[in-house]
Amino acid sequence: MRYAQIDADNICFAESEVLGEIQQADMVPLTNEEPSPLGKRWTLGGWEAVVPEPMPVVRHISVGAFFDRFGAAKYAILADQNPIAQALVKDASVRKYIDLTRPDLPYGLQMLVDIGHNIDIQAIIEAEIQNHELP
Amino acid sequence: MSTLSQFLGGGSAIKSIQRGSVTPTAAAGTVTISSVNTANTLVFITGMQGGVTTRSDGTNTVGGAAQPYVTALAATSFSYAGASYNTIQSSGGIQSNYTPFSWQVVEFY
Repeated sequence: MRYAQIDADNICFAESEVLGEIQQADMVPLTNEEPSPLGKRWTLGGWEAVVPEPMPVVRHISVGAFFDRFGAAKYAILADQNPIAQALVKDASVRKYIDLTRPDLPYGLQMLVDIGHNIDIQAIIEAEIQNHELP
Repeated sequence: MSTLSQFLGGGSAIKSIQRGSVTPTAAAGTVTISSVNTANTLVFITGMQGGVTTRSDGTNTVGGAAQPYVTALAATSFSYAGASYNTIQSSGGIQSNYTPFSWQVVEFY
């Protein structure tokens, strides 16, 4: 007999040809003619396609790539003896990568602007990550 | 020319075969089967589908298909694990992937 096995979300993850009848809540009998329901959701009305949920996006770049995003202001920021600039550079430098989605990042970058550095905060945070920028 | 069944006394040594496909929705899971004698039964992972993602410069593999494996066989089910792997998208996002596979449960006398 042919069965579709569903997970806790009623999604078919297994299609099986077994020896006999199986009476189990997660086993849905299939006819031989029925197309494979793998990946579909079982409802009372039958099988329906599942719209995939968007994957959580992780936006990490290397520390070097993060500094490169300062553009022409990079060296001025790295050499700046202002305590705020020093603190921000040091804070970034000790990390393995920079998480561009951190909620405090815009505020940190704004502090650099406030002490006179001309950087594009939006571009630094939102620009598409290139392969060479990956940690 | 002798066949395996002739060596085994002229009959088939195989009692039953069950088969199917899995498209995992998690890294591990359990597939229900009809009852078998686990002492005389083998589970085969017979085929897998997956991909390998490489950076555009072609130098670094950042993700590879996982190879699911059988972790346990019971009378009416078998369990698998290792079916998930991550790839890094060009946007920097990490995507979870699951490796579809086929299986056969062969029970011998």
